[in-house]
Amino acid sequence: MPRVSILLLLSAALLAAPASAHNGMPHPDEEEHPKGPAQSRAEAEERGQAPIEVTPTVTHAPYILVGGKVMTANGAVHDPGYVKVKDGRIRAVGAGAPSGTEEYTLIDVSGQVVTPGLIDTHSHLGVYPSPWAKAHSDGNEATAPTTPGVWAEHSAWPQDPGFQRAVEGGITSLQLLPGSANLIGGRGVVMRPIPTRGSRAMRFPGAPETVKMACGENPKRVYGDKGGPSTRMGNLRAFRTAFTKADALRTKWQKLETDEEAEASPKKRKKKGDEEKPPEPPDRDLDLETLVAVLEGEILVQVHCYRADDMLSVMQVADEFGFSIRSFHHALEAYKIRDLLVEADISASTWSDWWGFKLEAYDGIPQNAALLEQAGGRPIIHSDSAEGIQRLNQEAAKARRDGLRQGIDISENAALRWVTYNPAWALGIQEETGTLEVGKRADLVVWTGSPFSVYSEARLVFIDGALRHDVDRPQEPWADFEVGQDLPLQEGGAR
Amino acid sequence: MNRLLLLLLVPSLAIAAPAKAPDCTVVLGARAHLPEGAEDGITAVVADGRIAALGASITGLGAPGDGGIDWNGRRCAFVDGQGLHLSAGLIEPHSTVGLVEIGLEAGTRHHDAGGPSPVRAHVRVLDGYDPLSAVIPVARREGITAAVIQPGGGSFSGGAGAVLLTGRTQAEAVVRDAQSRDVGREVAVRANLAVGNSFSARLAHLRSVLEETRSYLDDRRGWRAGLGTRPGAPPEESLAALAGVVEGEVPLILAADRASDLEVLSIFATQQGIQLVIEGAAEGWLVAEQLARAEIAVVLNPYVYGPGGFDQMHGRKDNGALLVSAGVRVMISTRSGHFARKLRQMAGNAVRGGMTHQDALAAITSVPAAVFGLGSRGRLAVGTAADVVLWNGDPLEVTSWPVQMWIGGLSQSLESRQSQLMERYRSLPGSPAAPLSLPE
Repeated sequence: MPRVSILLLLSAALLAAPASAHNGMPHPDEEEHPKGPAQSRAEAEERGQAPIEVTPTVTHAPYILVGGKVMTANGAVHDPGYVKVKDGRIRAVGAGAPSGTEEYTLIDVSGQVVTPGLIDTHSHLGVYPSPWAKAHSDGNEATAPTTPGVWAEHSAWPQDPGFQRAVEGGITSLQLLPGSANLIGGRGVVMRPIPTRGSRAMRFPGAPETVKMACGENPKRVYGDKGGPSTRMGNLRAFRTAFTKADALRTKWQKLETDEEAEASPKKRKKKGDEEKPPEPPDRDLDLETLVAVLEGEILVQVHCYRADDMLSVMQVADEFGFSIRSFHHALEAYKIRDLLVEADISASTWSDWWGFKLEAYDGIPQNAALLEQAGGRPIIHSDSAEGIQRLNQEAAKARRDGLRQGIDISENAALRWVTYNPAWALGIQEETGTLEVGKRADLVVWTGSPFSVYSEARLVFIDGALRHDVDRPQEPWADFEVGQDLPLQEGGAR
Repeated sequence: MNRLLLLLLVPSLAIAAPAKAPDCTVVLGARAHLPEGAEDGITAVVADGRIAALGASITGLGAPGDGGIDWNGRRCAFVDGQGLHLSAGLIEPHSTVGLVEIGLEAGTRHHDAGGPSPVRAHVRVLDGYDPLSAVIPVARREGITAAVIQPGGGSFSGGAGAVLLTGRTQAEAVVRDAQSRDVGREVAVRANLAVGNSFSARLAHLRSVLEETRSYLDDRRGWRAGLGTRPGAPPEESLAALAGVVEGEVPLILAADRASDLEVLSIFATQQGIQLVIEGAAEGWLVAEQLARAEIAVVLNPYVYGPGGFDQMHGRKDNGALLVSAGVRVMISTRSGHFARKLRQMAGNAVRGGMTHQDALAAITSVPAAVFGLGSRGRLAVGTAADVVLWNGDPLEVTSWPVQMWIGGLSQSLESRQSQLMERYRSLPGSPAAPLSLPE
């Protein structure tokens, strides 16, 4: 089954990526800038992703969080427990008192709760940043119904104050996505919410590429009066047309690579003769290349869909063209097809309680995540909101509560995975983060109390082991935009 | 209790229950959220639509026995409140519940009148209220018992009304008083800073309509012959509908966030002699004294403490706490119908931001009841209308939920179309997939 092999390839690639590499590419200083046309699709991809700004590596002296309740999100809960961190990675997790503490600084978190950092699969921070302004509307390239060649990364404003607000709520990784006006809205990007000068330096090292697709009401509403599609069947034709073209380009690239291999083979060279021209690469097509990468299983597909039948339609397209869907987003009716989602190993990124804002959202129920969990699926609580991302833990708490209320028993561990491991899986970074396990990146939150309480604060937030938020020590704003805008609390409120 | 059982068995009846004789129910020894603070071990008697008795000990109360408890010669149902919380029913100060069934479907929206004039204060949003809307039970099962429903659009959108989230007919749902028995009382007029390209222009528009209302009320015939004949004049019935506002009897609701706007609106309210309710007020803490002096009540969104817009640059988490301590009446609202169920989570987050639990709960119970004149509702006290919720935990905590609730003393269904969908799909492929049995 192609789905399985693609997933294996992806996770293998991620495991192989060294911590310091930028998507597996050499540092720009190490190699001259390439000239001439790319000779392979891989080379074309590499050039498009080459970094300029190098993500700063911040390392603290080794430390241990001790005395708190440690919820690992992989089943184990240690109360009290400890988490050892060195060089940005988790070195040990366990119950009771740690041993071998010589070189470590002890950070007492007694009475508090340690969890993995929260991960949001659906954010428009940076692409629809705050403050809301017309000039900031960079999330939908609503000029054509399919624009797979645009990248959310290229819209993402790293100065969005929302990134810091998200970290203050315990977020350590997030997927930035284009909007859902388009059937294929472009590439998403898996990011670290950290202060950088350009958005590329926020990329989660080694994370796979993603693409955003959308079905249902949005594309037909946006394009119904602009040449179509204007119906759900029009949506489907447009998907299938795009992938048909991509398939043709894929064949050309494959032929080029086969010809090159043939060139390299001495037997063939002799046969063809020396004067034969080298094979020409096909014309670059940024839109189709993204879709070719989807067909090759290199890009994780994220599909905005509400209705059960709409999701099934997109699953049919995926089967027809041989790609897999990693996560349905919003997926309010996932509960109606949870058996089929489990069978196809597709996760569902949903809300705890959004519904009714349009007709395709009318059948949303707050037990969506709980029912999918019960069926053995991969529910995810996402935000799709600059506000919701600041309290994703509460959203998971509500979705668990609503399950319990209807007699669906959901453990705290399971609900924690809705905002940690499962989103990590949907983004292909589950080998690197999402649970508290030895060797993983030290993405940690220390909560003042239960992560499922409305009153709890994310007290400390670590990303790659670096402390990015301490509720007791307000930082200066990360965003330049907020500089000089802060009014201290004083009599008369004067500056 | 019997009715609850029946509702479980016959889902189609769950939309709304017919009125029946008020229950007599005793809640024994719960943690009660009283106006003066939370207290453990409080017993409440709900009888004849009111909270008939409330306290640590109740006179005339027997011991609970088989199927009931005696209270002053009456046999009442009882609930052991041990470990449970009792609060007044929540009141959403701005909702579109019963007005908007599906956000993007124009045909199902009844909150925005539209029309040629932005001044349409005479449009009564209550007229469009549908007590059979599927949105209502969804909000109710999160402990909301009443809502102020507001129109939108234009500069004077229309009259806001108050509804109880119960009943099949407007007669059962709409809050009314002696003067408004047939149509329900309008609790406020909704306005918007909408006409004009600057705050100054928008405020000038509101001011001129209020001034014109005064001159109209002074000399109706003169207005009809003069100002009323000009092109674009506001409809006469709209000016008539603003009489209560300019007389300072009926609150005018406006949204504004920027501190300077709030400061100017404070002066405006005093100069005009109007009761102003301001929604948003993200930067309210900067002008809290001015708002308090002008007796302006505010409706907050406790989540606004980042620069969400240029008018909200100086939002703070503790905005609500600072406003309360300045003496401003603070309410909290989702300003939504479908999302009204998030109301208590918002209040919980206001506590996280620095408000006291008592003030945050008041912001979604007693304060809206007082501001919008909902009589005795919104408070747990003897003699008040029994809109009461029994919770399995802290009402503001995201892990708790209502286990029983009453509106006007009537026990309410906790079912909704959503809980019915949940049951339909509890096992797959969903209950209708099975064929009927063959006819006999």
